[in-house]
Amino acid sequence: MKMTPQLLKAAEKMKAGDISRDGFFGRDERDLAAILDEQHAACLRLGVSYERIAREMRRIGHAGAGGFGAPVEVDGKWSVIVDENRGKIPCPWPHPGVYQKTVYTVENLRTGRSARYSELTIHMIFTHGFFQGEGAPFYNSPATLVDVLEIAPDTED
Amino acid sequence: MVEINPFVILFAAIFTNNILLSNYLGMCSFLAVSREVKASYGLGFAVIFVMTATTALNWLVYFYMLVPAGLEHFWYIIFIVVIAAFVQLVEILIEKISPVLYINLGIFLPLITVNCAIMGASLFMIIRGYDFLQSVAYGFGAGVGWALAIVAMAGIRQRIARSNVPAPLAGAGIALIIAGIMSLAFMGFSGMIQVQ
Amino acid sequence: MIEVFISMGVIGGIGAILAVVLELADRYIANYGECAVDINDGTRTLTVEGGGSLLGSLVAEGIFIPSACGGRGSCGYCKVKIAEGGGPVLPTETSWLTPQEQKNNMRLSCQVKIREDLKIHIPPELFLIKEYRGRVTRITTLTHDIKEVRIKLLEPEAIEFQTGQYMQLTVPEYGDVEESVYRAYSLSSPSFEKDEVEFIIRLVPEGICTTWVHQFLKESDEVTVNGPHGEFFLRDSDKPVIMIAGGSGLAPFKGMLRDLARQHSTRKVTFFFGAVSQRDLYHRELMAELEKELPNFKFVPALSKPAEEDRWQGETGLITDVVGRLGEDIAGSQAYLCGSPGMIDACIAVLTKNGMPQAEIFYDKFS
Repeated sequence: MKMTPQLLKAAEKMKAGDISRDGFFGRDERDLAAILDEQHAACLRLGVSYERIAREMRRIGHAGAGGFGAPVEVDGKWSVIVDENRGKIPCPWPHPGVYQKTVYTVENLRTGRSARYSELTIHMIFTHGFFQGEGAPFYNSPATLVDVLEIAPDTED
Repeated sequence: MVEINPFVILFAAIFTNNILLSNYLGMCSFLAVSREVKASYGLGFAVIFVMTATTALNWLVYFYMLVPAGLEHFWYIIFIVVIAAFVQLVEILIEKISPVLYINLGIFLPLITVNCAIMGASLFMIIRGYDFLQSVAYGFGAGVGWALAIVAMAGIRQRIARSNVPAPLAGAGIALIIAGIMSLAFMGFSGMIQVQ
Repeated sequence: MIEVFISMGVIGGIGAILAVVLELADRYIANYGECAVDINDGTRTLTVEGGGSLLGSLVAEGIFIPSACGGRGSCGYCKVKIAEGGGPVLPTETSWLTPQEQKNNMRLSCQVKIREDLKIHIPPELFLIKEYRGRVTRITTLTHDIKEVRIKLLEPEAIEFQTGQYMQLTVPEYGDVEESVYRAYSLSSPSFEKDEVEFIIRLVPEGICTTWVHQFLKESDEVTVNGPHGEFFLRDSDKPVIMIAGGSGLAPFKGMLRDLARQHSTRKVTFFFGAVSQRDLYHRELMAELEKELPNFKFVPALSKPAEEDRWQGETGLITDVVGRLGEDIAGSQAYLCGSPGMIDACIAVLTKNGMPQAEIFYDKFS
């Protein structure tokens, strides 16, 4: 993929200190298009669409909302902590809409592995297929998410 | 040529020698503002007013200042300056007198400063050797003709907006074709009176 | 040679004449002189240079009419009532004004030019919104992620507000943050403390402002705040009060309770504070003191997941369960809520289920 003007604009906003303090790239120094390509390919290898990953993140995350910050057991498989914070944050892509600063911490009770992500993270994965750069505060690789959230590969039909 | 009745010139300027459709002057705002009938009325009226006033002013400036000083060759610069200053003045006046009219016309007035039809009308009146009354009649007529053309164009484009225009022609393409056809239609008038 | 001078003279002369005409027009026609703007029947009268927009002139005089678009007529927030003057409603305003508003002489202040003396009406609280410069006098760590910041006001030196309102704190550029931003925080100080303001601020992961407050802000730093804003304050009534808060949502209630204590109020107040475990609780001594000062006040902290070592004796469970246990006794009370949207929505559902009318529920959502 090439860096389109839209991607350039988004990448500009993803820098540290613009929308969030540490930005969305972490230690990843590649350009946004390369990251998107690589993460898309990773999803293909796992056999799971990024939309599905995001839907599971949302479903399991929202199921923990009743705890008001205390861990809630979801489906007997996960312990979910939902932390709602004051304020909303926009998406770096140029479209309207802001996302509540809610942070989900999902721990897989069987494996003990966990993933931490925000409402905006879910949106960026669902709509833009962007998992953020490695080392960014809410970065989870597609493989980690598939493992923690126990997402089975899409069935071909 | 000089003996033509001002009323004939007025009529000719509107129909047979429509400044927009036979001289193709003022095309940029013609294409840009002819999407809606309402906006084109606004611009049309502003053009009528400014054209009438600037032809009169420029005629006076030309024959009472440039000709006695032997500076006719400066007419382009002077006409543009006069038009620009006049539009500024009108803007200040309208803002004071009628804020509603100012809001309605306000966005069009700066457009008019750079409308080549205004400049064209002033130049034609000199080239054709009109006297003062004829010039005013010509300026007014050219303005009405321009307004008529843009309102007609806007009406057509509003209808066109709802029809199925081939994609490559949509927008400015079809507008130029329409302008061409309108121009052909107006050529039908040209046999009626001969002024030039 | 002589022709050159003649032509220069004539061209220059024509230019000069036009310039003079325009200058005269600008001075005499476009000059609207000084106009008097009378606000709220003489509450305040401004004398301003005519010709500018009403919105701009009011803001220049320190009266902050809300506006999101900066005066381009594209947000429709800056409505004011113009009782006299102002001229006809402009086409740029009509799409923002309902026929009813037009009949009531409501106008968009960014579109109204001041050309004559005006009489206008604005909500009185807009007078009070100001920008304050202050100095941090104390930063207290309340819990692992909550700090309390106290600011002494320097310029202006005093503030008028209603306890429970919020202010916006301006964050300067720091680290990678290249543009100053502002964020809203509830005031935790009572309105009788006019020369100081206090905020309770919880660290938001990745938050630009809260990170600054928690890691960069030091005592004796200068800061800028503006306000007061919002409509969250204790309503005058004899009805018992139920306060519900979580996290930094305690802030407005701290102010309200101190207000009540000063008035020696006997109003029945129960304050439910929801937290996960002991380490999220704070201001317990303060609440104990207030319980002594206020005869009918009770502080009820509730932990949803107390840790083993907490040896927690108090209420346990989600805040919604604790409030729900009150049953229908609450029907005649007023409720005040401050906290995360999820908590507030869940609490409102519990309260209304138990018979509390919506009109008696007031809240400040963190959004």
